[in-house]
Amino acid sequence: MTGADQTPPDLTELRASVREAPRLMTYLKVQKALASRPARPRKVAVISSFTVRPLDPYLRVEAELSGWRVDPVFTEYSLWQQALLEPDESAEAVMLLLHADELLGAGAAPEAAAETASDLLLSVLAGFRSRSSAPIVIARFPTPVWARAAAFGSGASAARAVRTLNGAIERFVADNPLAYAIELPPMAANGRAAVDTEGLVRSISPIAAAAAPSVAERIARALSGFFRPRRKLLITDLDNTLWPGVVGEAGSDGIALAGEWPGEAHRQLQRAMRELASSGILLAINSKNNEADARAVFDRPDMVLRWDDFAARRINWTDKAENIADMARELSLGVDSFVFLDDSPIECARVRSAFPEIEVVQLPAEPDQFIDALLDCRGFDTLSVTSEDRLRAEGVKAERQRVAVAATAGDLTGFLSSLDLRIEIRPCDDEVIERVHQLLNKTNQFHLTLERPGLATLAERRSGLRAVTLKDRFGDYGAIGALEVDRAGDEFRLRNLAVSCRALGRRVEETALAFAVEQARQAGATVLSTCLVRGPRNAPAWEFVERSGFSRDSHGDETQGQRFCMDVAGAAPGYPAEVSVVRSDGESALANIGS
Amino acid sequence: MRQWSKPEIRSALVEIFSVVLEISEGEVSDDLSPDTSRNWDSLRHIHICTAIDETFGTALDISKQVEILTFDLAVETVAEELGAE
Repeated sequence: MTGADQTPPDLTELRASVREAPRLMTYLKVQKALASRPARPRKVAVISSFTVRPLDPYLRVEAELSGWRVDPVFTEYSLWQQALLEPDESAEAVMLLLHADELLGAGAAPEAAAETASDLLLSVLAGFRSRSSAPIVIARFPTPVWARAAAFGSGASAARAVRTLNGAIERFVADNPLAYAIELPPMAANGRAAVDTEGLVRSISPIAAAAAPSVAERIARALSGFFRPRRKLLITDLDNTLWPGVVGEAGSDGIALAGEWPGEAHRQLQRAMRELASSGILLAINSKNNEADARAVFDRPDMVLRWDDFAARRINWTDKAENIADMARELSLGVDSFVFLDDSPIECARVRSAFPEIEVVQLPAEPDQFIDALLDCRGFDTLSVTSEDRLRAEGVKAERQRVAVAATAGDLTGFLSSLDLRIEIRPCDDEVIERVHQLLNKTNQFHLTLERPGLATLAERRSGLRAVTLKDRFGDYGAIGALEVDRAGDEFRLRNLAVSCRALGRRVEETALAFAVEQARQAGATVLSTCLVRGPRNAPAWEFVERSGFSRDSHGDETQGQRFCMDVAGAAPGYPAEVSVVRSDGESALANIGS
Repeated sequence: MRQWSKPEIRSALVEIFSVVLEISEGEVSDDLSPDTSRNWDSLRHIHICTAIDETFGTALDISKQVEILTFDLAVETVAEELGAE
């Protein structure tokens, strides 16, 4: 393990060390080794009815291993209600862990107690949500170990009581955005009981030291989706990964899949990949094979994944790292959004060496460990999947069709007109706020201010925020722009605009600007201003502002914020001719109105 | 079950205290206590006891945990628990 004054710590090595020796001393040493990594700490309020504080070093390490840095602030015991009703405004997320025994008491009528406790819980949670827009993750109540004595417990009163409490959590989650429920792994040392009763008595902590790593991992992974981008692409090998054996030697009929072992283990792995795909992860193939041999296997009825399930395929004899670079260009994705899965340690080492930012998963030799290997991959962890995530695979297919049309189109205007572009500018409601948050935090090229606001901040600024969606005749891009306008004195501000790079050049940025101009005029302002911050990759945003009729203020600092102004009393940019635009109130703005 | 000698216990405890309290091994003296060490608070005390249990295979009950008021007492407590001389 390297120290803080040596070369940067190798996350793979550190992850292996905590897996091999999941003890407190290991976590404390790894925590010290990770301290030198540059990262912005994210404040998380950990609110519990029992002591969770001893989890601190485990939580810090597991968060780092999930790609983010946590700054946990603990509130414990009976202060949990106060902590929810007087929430810390600077907390970027809340993790809530409550103990059922405390809510239910030790009385003989746990079901009645559960009704009262549920009402209390819902009331406190509603109070929290009315005062804070931060995402909240709530641990579901496990059935107490003593309640399981009534054979499997489904009819027993304590089990029903816990179901009532969990029902209250589910109702709150269903009715509120940015609220989520998770299961925690068993917290007792024996790995079976939900809580460590001995620990609870000795130190009021129901989390045994032996269970602390898995509990911390679950919490850290659950919260990670709020604080680091989710990886987008899973690149998989074929031979001895998607199927057992080597198709080039066995022939497609010689691959033993359904009803065979380890064939069924490989099919299960395919099912897991298909499940990932349904949550918006793109799949790609990177295999050293003859394409015709591989294609023949996909035609078999016992294959779970199909040829068309893959957004990109490199089945050739080229170096796999070169293939990956090529796929990144084809899909317009950064390699830091990739996960690479392969059974070969040599290929895994090759990819790690060529692309340290790719998360590499080596498929274990034991087939019954295949799924665990995929589950151990943290890059895809998220609690929320937006509809844009689910549309991603369809979007790749649609883009191929657009590229084909562009190749035959005449000029750009003709091409854009042929696409039948439809843009909607809609309020930032609960359905889209997470996508708007994603856009403002992940977009690099077209982003005016490079401000990365948290969900809680965005919820407070909702009235000025808009989501911009785009459709064309090939498909639905979903929400691809985030726009914020506000009033500052006599000026109207285009406070921020971020557009997904896959929608650039589709008149989205021009439409957003026209909307801001229109809003400024409706507000009676004569000036529309904006402020840009120069980053390493947002040249497209600067170029757009500079060619759109804004004047640069003579005094300005590009790294802190350069102000630009536009007189909107006279001529100013209007809606592009090639687009039909709908505002959220249903009013249709035909092309050229306002120009 | 490993047999620990007292010098081995002391050496392992020096590492535990050093790592948990984030001090150098040279700063771990016999009279090190919550009064002399800024970092030795109630949370770190729980961590010291956890690390002791994990390292030595003990299960110190609350009465033994509260006896660990100095480093030297930690050595004595663990040695007594393990029957080391």
